[in-house]
Amino acid sequence: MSEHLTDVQLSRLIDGDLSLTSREAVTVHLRGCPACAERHDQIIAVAATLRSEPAHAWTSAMTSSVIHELPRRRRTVRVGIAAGVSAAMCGLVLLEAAPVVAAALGLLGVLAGASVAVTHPAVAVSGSPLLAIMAVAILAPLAAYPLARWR
Amino acid sequence: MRDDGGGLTIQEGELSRGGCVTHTMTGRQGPTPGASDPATSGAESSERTHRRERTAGADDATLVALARGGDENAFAVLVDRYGPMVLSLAYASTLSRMDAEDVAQETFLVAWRGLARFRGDAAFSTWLYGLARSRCADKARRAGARPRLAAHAEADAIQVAPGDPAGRKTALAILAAAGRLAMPQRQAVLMRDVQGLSYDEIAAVQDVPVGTVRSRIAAARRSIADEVGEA
Repeated sequence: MSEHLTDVQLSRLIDGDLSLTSREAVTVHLRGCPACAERHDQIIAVAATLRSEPAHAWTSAMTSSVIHELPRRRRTVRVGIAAGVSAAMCGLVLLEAAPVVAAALGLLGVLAGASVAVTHPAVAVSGSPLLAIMAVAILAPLAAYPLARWR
Repeated sequence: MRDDGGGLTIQEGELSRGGCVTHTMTGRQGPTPGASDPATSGAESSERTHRRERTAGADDATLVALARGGDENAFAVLVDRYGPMVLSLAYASTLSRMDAEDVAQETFLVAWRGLARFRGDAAFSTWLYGLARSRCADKARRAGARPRLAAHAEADAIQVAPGDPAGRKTALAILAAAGRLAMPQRQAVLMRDVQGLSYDEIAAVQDVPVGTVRSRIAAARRSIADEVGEA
């Protein structure tokens, strides 16, 4: 090996990434080439200093923090959906069309819920609060329907 | 390392973190899901832990399918599995512990929201690392628009380790030089030397061949050495 070593060869030597044959050839070259030996010293000093810095390790608390953020965002979506459904049902009550629409929605809900429960059990469990809110959102205006008729 | 008179030689694997075994991170060797965590205690915690343990050994495709259906425990296993790599990339990009945690958290939240769009054409890890790189690039752009905050982030990284004044001065100069590298080089060298990732792991995170990682690390070390040598 007559030419000077490349930076990649020197870095791979530091990292133990060379084959045995290549490592021996590089080591022999370093012994006889002061210029490459000086560059090797400079690079190894950089790597050693960086490696003395503490790594930033992932912890289970970070996982908990990520997971904690998920339901809160989903609750916001649930409340938004429920508010939208409730507003729509109130409008239907005023139009006196609520019973027919509610029956159709209820039937669709039962079919969709059964389908999800079979294909994605996890969704059925995690989605139960949404179903409860939806039920209230639909039933509350229905309860108000007789009142609207009476008035 | 020893001096043979004619030159300096190094034994393979001699240079490791803090004189100990090189700390490598693999996505599948993260902390045990739900392991003792003071923030999550009680019956609910043990139930969650039990659920996570049942899914901890599942492959990515299974976990992604469960998570897509709303299973948070399955997603927690994925977060545990890939959190170390995502955080390493974020830390190497931002040089700030706080910013790195923000980027990692944001990455996983984006992944959670985007699971429905993930079709599985590529590996989940490839998709996730792509999201992480995008978040890092966004963070770097914002930091570039606010140079004072970028300088603060640099100082944040430098202050974390104690040491002798001369050594800290050298470390400060080296970290500052690393902070001025092009992003791919900076990420590669810091993931290797500070975070202790292997060449293969860095290649996966950066989505490039291992040869490119070798070139980036070598060029980064050379640039830092030249800059510190001239100072």
